[in-house]
Amino acid sequence: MRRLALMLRALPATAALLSACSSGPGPLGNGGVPAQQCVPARQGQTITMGIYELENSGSTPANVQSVSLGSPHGLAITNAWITPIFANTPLIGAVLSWPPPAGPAWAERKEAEGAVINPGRDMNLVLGLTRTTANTGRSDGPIIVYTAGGTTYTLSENTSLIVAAKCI
Amino acid sequence: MFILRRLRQAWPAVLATASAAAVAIALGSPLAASADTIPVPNEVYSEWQVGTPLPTAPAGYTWQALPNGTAMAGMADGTSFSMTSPALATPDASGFVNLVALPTPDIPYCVRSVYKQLGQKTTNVEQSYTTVNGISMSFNYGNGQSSRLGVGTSLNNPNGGFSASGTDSVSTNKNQGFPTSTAKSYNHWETNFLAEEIKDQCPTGTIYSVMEYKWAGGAVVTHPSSAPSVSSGNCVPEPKGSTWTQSGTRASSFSVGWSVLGFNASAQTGYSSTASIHFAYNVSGRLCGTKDVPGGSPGVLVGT
Repeated sequence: MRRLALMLRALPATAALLSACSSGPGPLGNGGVPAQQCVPARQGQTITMGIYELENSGSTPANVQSVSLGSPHGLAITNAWITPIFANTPLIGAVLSWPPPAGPAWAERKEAEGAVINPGRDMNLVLGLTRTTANTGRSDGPIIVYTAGGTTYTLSENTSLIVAAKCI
Repeated sequence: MFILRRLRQAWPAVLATASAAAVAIALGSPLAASADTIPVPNEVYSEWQVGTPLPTAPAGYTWQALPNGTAMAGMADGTSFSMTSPALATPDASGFVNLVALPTPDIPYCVRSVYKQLGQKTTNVEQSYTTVNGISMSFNYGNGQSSRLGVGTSLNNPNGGFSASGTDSVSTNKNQGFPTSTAKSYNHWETNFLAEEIKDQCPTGTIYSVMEYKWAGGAVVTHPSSAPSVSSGNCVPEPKGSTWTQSGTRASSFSVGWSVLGFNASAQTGYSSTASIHFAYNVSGRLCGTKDVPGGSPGVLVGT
């Protein structure tokens, strides 16, 4: 009986914990279609990976908590920024050097961790990626942990990455 | 015998009820105004993957399962066949069962047969474009890949008047490669499916359906005269030496995937990871989607 009372008392706390975390798609989307981007680079070279779009389709600001690579092998994030995406302007995309060429979007960059993406805003996640192995560097897409409306979301981008001596 | 007698006794009432329903649908009555109501002609097709919830049948309609593609391929013109409840159907190699929704009063009384085998139809299963030289492009339609293909139905007319009435699913059982395009190229990647016309004699009328039901293989690349326009905002720069491969998603739906008897059917590919489209940049350029950036929900991909 006492055990039951304890369990009942714990229910509201458990429910609160469950409601504060969500593994479902949040306002920054579902990570897009499965794809793979390969970029050529030598060991130790840092390249720009600015192919990911973070669009807040929700009604509350999204606060980026962390950005990491999913299951990395020989690949490391050395820089993580977000930049605005201007109308009719391409994303920063993949570039064989770091940092990317200067431009209006890059001039307004903010560190990804701690950045706020307001409702309706469309931002470009721009990573500096270093190949740390003599072998081909690989990872799943980046994992972005963020909060919005009191809920914490984990977004796994579905475009995986290869950084290799040669892609073609 | 008793059942047969009961059926004969009930037939006029069934006919009257079903005919009234058909007229109601045809005249756009409140019955036809329901969101769930199937437009004339009153059959609709859908596909179902075993292990997932059945799609919702429109009110007053019940799903029946068609024989799978292998069974259909063995049926000559005029062969009658029966349908089963979805739970008893034999799925194809990818686990798909093709369904048709019939008005519930019709279910015991419709007589279904192969009206005509239509042979192989070339079908557009993917599209991609490069608008500059130096970007190569290839497509692979892999083993186990499914395409969702438009089905057309026509009331009382076997030779025309077909309109879109749902989709069915056909899966591959082998890998089909396509030649690589190495220069500027607008590509429709096409393969062949067996098609047939089905005759369904029901109390509400005779309904003819045209559908593709089995993959036949083959690789055909056709070249439309223009590429779709893309917004720069849906593009990402790609450096020389990079590649992009997209797989494991539903490709864009094409309004004209295949055509027969004046009917243009839709097509959509991509239920599994075995179909892939690949771009290789021998020059620096951009990769764009017609609807979104390549890593989002891009629609058709264009290398520029």
